[in-house]
Amino acid sequence: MARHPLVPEITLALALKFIVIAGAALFVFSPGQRPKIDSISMQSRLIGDFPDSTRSSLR
Amino acid sequence: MTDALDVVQLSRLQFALTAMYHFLFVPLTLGLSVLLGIMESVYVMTGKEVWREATKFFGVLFGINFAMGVATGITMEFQFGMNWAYYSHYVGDIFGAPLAMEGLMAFFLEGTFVGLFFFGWDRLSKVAHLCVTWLVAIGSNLSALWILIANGWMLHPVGAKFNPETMRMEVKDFGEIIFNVVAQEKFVHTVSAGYVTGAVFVAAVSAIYLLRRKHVEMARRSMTVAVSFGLASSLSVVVLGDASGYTATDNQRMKIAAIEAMWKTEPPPASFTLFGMPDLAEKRTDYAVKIPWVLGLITTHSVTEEVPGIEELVKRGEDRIWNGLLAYSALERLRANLNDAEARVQLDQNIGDLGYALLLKKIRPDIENATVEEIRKAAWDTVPDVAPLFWAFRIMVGFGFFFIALFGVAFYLNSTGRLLRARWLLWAFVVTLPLPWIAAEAGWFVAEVGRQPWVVEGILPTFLAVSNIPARNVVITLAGFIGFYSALLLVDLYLMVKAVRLGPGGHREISGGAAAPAARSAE
Repeated sequence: MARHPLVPEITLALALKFIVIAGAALFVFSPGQRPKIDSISMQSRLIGDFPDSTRSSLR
Repeated sequence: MTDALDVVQLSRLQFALTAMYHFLFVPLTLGLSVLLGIMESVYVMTGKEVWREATKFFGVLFGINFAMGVATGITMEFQFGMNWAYYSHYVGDIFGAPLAMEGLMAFFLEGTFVGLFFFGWDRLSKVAHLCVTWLVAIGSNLSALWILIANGWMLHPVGAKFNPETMRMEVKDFGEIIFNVVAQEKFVHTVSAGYVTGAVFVAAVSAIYLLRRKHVEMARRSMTVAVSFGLASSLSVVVLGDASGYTATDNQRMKIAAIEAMWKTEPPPASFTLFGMPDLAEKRTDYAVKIPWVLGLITTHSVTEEVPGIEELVKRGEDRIWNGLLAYSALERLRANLNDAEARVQLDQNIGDLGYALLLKKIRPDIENATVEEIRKAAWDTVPDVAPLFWAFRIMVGFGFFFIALFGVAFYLNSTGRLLRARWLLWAFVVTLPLPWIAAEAGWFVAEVGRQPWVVEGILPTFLAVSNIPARNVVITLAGFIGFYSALLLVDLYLMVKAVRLGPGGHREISGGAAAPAARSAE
């Protein structure tokens, strides 16, 4: 079967796409990136003390 | 809170920027998809090839825009988990369902039929392809419906109940969430605005061809469709916007009062401030030009009903904070002992005002010890930024009436066969091209900034909804979004301009196929 002329371009595009997705997944799922919220952490947010990192600023 | 950009402000900025980028593409997709359906319907009914060419040509522009819309929309959904984790936990059960439906509509229904639209011209019968085109339009509009159901719930949270055991809102009645009156009003208003955008876009592209005397046969037909569709849409966007304002008076009185910079309650029917310089610090509007009765008639549809002013609403907010503190203390006791029946009754009686008490968290952590002065300050926090809202609303409404006038004149001239000779009007359409986008962005600004300080109206203040993440993380992703989206926007504009320059038939070159010699030699 003859090789389609667009095969190199499609392969490159798919490879780039895969790299971007893998990079994003590594970033998103790396430790500390996804805050796990449960009823206890919601409790401390709403009815506990509130001196947390939402006050973190760029200053 | 510090004055510097904190996580809350950065997360809001990031969401606002990505949403505004996304909404550059959405209204055109909504409007153009329906216009494609109309053009192809005429082709199927008349058999005239020029209508097929018009559908295929504007279909290419639709496709470019659609791809960008999907790409920019996906990132917004990730932000709920990344930047708004507490929001996602607190109301995710309710908000997640319509969001998932929107994803299904966009990717499964719309995406499938978009593929068939582009690759099915020579593989499907005329009628089958027409059905595909209309299904693309229906899919686009249905995906907008679901996202606006989710958004409408944030403005008018019905059909849900707080569960103190899980510390989150849970669905009580899904039907109530779907048929939420605010969501429905918002849907028809937003979709109509999309139709106006589509009509202005088709009219402007057609006007460019007519001014250059290129592709005249197609352009005069597409202009006719755009003008009549645009007139109907621009009329409906104003009528439905009025309905939306009427609904907002019940649910979001503060937003209406802020839009009107109405500091004090006026005797009914309230006057409409056409122009003025609102001053939040001094709580007054300088140089106000007022039209008697108009605000009362628009927002209450009566001459006897009051429209409450900002100061009165702040006073009501104070009362709700006091009630909210009862709910807060009940919740504290209930979390310590889930079997405390007395606390549960007290919570149930005051749960509707819990969110108001939480506003105090911005001022002090131990809110049960808040002073009267702090409660008054928290109540004033329920007032959104008046001046930008005041002006954004007037920009949106001003453009809305301008579109009616423009399409009205164009419709009249087209009906009397004089439109093609009215070069000034063709130029007016070209110059008007950016205005629907400005109006749409101003509309979203009014809707979302007017909702502040709430992420869910009366239930969850925005500052409590953000994730516990360092500010620099948000800055990094914000910079990434700005860079990536700006690149996408440039690619979009480049492809759009290229497609318009190539004209009907040129789409075969863009898609990598053979050029259309017949169409090009006809120029």
